[in-house]
Amino acid sequence: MNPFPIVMASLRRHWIMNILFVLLIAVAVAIGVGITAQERALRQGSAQAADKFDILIAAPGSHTEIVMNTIFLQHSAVNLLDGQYWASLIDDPRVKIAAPLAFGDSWQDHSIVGSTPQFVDYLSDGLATGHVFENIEQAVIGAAVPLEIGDEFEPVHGQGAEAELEHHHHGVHLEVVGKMNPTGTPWDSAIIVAVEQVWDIHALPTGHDEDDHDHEHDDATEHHDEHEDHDHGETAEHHDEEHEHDHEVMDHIGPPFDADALPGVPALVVRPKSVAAAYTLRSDFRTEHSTAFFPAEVLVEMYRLLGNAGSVMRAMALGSQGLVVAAILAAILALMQLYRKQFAVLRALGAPRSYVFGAIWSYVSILVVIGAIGGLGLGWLVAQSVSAIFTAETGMALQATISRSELSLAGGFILIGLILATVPAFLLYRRPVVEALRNS
Amino acid sequence: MSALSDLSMPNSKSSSSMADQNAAGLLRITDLELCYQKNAAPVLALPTLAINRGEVVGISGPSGSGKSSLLYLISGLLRPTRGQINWNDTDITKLSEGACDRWRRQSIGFVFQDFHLIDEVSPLENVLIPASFAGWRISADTRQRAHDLLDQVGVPMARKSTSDLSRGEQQRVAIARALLFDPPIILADEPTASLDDAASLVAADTLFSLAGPNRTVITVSHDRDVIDRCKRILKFDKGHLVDDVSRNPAEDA
Repeated sequence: MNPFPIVMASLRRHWIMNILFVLLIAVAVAIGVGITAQERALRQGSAQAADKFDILIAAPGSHTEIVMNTIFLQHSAVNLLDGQYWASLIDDPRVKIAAPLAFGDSWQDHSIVGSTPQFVDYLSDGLATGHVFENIEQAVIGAAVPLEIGDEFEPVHGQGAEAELEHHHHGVHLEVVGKMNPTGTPWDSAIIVAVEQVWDIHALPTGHDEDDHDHEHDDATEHHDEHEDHDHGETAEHHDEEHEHDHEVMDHIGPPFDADALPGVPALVVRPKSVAAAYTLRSDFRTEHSTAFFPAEVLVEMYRLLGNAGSVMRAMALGSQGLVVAAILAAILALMQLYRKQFAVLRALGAPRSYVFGAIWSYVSILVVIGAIGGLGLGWLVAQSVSAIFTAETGMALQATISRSELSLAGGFILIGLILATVPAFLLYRRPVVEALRNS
Repeated sequence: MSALSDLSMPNSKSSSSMADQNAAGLLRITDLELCYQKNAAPVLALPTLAINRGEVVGISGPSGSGKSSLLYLISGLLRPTRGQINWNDTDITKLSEGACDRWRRQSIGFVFQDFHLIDEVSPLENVLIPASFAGWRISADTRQRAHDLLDQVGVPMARKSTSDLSRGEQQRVAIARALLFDPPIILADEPTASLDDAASLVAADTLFSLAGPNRTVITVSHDRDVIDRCKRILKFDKGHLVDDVSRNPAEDA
């Protein structure tokens, strides 16, 4: 028994309708596949982005906001953490690396973050080219920053297009001396400078003896000690006008610091020496004036919310798949009425009932299988496109892939489709042959 | 086309079994009654009827007189309320559904008023459709036979699209399809009703050329020309056989 000549004829006879069926199935499957693939890519991408940020310490506030500011470089106003916290961590035996993260300036759309050479080395696992900054007029760029070693750029106060429009230039030029390896995180789009550079450019003390660095902005320093807004928006106009840097280049960066002269920073990233150290550090720095947490804690909460949203979306996708299947089944049942005479004739010519059943079941199943496989590919393409857009927007490398869950989804759809395909097959193969023949 | 009656299945299992049946080929109907509803008047009542092998039988009568029902009963598509239909020693009414399907495939060739070809496949594939009921692969012999049948009915193989055929050609392809397994019985239900006069003549010629000592042709028709070419004419009215005339069409002409 080979019903495929009839199946192929049926596929060709109403080919436009059949293509529409396949497209409907493909879109329904693609929605589900796209959602799960995208959700997983987002989880993996964000987990990778947070990988080098073992513990974050910041002034009390929203942990999510701190994570967004530091790991994902989506800057917003946060309170500053007193500089003495960093001073205490530098010599802490439980700490391998403790680095400040000071931001607020940018070049074009690239965040400029003040930190330490050790953090740059840790973040990038060594540099791709060049060397880390050795003074406050040097910078290291992320892999996606369109600058080369030796290029100079002028930092602008603030972030994004608004910063460019307002032209809050600091009047200094920084030289690119190193380029990081690609990290697949938003930090690929960042420019990292010595934290002293950020403080200096905003007329703050640098934690070093003032004799090292001949400032001419004592008034501004006093003002900055009080403010708590890291983006320095309120003071920008003051020091843009006053703070024309006619100082000598500060050769010395990094420890030792004068703890009393360390300004506040938006956050500290800490790499502990051990897991036990991580927990005690987190506990010790949860004080009235500071908060410490593992970014993973925030990500887990974000994943939970993402999971809830994903569940809703998956439920909606499942609902749409159910509607598509119901609509297609209804259409096929209507279509089968047109085929009723044909199958009655086949029976008159000697076809067994099983032939009729097999022909209809195979016809519907082929539509389902082609649609589901197409949907798998379409969903992957959509997830890839969304990931590419997301990566371009955030710098966070997302890799949407087809894994077991997507294959299970498509496989489940096919299985349900194959089972439901028995409905029209069962309904039609039971129809009286003579009745259909008489209605010629 | 006159050679159609001699075109038997070469060296095939079905052809040999059919040949055995044809040796004694006799269709015998006894005490047949068909009712569509319980306690309702029968739509067909036939106390006895015998049709010998090689007969060309025309069935006429007004619409609703039970003509087509008789064809469906003989083919096993309808089960009678009571009575027997014997083909040689086999009571068709007692066959299981699967056995009945098999019997119909091997012993009956159906020709319909509206041909019922599949436009999306070629004339050759249309002729080969019954071969797909029994096996996955179609043998080279069967394929060759389909070729030969198309040649015999005058539909050249070069014409690949069934939908491009004229109505007369389509009916001849349908006749070729009915002959694929060289059945001993051809049942034709209004075979010329959808054709113009010229095409009717060709189709009738083709149909009657099938008759021979080993093949019985039974045709239901309102077409006087078709009925007049039959050697035996059965007239039905209100479900009853009212006339059974054997004649020699050549002499009448």
